[in-house]
Amino acid sequence: MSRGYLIYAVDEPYISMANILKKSIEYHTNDAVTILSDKFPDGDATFGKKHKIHNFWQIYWATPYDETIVVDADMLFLNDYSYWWNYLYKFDLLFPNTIINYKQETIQHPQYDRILTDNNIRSSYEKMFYFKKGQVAQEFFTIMEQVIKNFEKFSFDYFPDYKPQSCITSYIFPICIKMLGIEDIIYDKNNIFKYIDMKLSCLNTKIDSSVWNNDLDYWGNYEEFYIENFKQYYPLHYRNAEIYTL
Amino acid sequence: MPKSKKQDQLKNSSTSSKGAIFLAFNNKEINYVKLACLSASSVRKHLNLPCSLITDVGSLRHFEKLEYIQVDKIFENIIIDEKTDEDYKEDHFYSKYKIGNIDNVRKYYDTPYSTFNSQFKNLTKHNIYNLTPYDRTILFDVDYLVNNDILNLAFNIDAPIQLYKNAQSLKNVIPENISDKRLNEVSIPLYWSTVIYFDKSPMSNMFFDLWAHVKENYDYYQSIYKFSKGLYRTDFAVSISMHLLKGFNDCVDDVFAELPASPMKYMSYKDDIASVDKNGIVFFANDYKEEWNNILTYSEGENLHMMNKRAIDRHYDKLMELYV
Repeated sequence: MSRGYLIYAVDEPYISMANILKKSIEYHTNDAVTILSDKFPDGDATFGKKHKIHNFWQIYWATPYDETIVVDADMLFLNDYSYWWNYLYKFDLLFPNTIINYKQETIQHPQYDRILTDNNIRSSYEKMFYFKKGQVAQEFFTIMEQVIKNFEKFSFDYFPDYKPQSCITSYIFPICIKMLGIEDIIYDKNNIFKYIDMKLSCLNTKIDSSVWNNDLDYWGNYEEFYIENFKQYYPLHYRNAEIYTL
Repeated sequence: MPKSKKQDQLKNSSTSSKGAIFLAFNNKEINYVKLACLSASSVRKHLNLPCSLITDVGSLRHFEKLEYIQVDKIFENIIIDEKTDEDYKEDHFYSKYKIGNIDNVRKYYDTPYSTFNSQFKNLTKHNIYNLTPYDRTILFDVDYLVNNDILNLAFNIDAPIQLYKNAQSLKNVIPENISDKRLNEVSIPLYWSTVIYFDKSPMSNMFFDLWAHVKENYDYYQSIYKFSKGLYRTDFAVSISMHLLKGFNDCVDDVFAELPASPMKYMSYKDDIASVDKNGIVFFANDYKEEWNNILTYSEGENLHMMNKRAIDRHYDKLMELYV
């Protein structure tokens, strides 16, 4: 069984970010890493779109691996998490059950995404997830194709009270999970598989600017990375902070 | 854990000495030795532990002159810290935190309506590791009242350092003031130095050495951890020491555990005691945001960190009756 990481990145700055992430993964592990930015099996559907996620469903067919961990481009690997593979192979599709902020506080669903919780749907924490090629994952990505291509309709059905303005993964994934009724089996109940999310609303800290790196002190490199004296262990989803030139 | 190691531990736990220790250095406003007598009485009654007092000659004489209680009936050891006021004044660190002519001044509240400034002699608290006569010790602040025997469980927990991270007010809610939860909003969690269990292990030694180091370099750590300038708070020094020893992570593990019965319940400086009956205490729990607003709360059988020391003094005799 082949294993590896897949980073979906279309256009700049995501391709640059993906390259930095790839370097950070390769610094800590010998695992294979693929950046998926073109050569989509079913063609590129992102032309003219603001959020370039319209090819995302194709990753199932594009990945060169039997087992894949998909990671967002705006992340950094800060340790060797190779031990995850021996845990993840038991699952067909797995998402983090909980994620944490830089202070190691567990992020609550309402602070992560109000639109989802107002519509009684839980966040899927899809910035990093695992899938194994097989019926479950294939079904999941097949549904995702339909959701992406018909997002207006699905968002109307699943978010009747407060409709999201953008077709982004934060809304696409929860819809797919809900449609398939697989909420009970795809979250990591053991909380082994997780990442750090620097979404401003999740930091439990008043951030005055639009990027956290203006307000919080950070330093370090791939080997050791600190934010406000907290040593970060898990993969860091730094979002739009300009730290990817590390 | 291998069976033999567990058996060794059990053997050690039955043979090693254990006890409680209190630091009490009077200032011009507060008779800390008197408070220590009350706290130690509560420990003796509920935990059945021998108690030792660390104080200075001046504080002890002052207490013995004024009070009818015989200190040596409450404490099996009275350890005199030889450091004089003049020594403190020469302490490079101590003289940095001064207001007017008074060193390391703390502003004390007694309800929202009364305040007073007084010297806070907390700079030698980390020396407790060397001063304690016990193999396994629980250090209590003198404003801590023990009202049940849960803390005895600390002696059965295989962790060399145990203290409280979580606290809750008389209204059973988390502290409203950020400095009672974290060193600042973006920084590390606060660990309370109010009650600390420790043994004589190398890890404990390292913890207290690091505490001393943080105290000596308090300005540096203030700039790194971004907490408020001014008063030296042992809670901050302890929190930083924990954070450093845990490799810049925040986790409760086998080395540093939370004391049993977390969260630690506390009466804040702005709360007051309404009355003391034969079983418990009735409080005025003050509203942090609307200071004119108090609600009555009752506490019985709960351990309490009684921050308002003047309130203790006003009800001292009644409180002492709870523990005789």
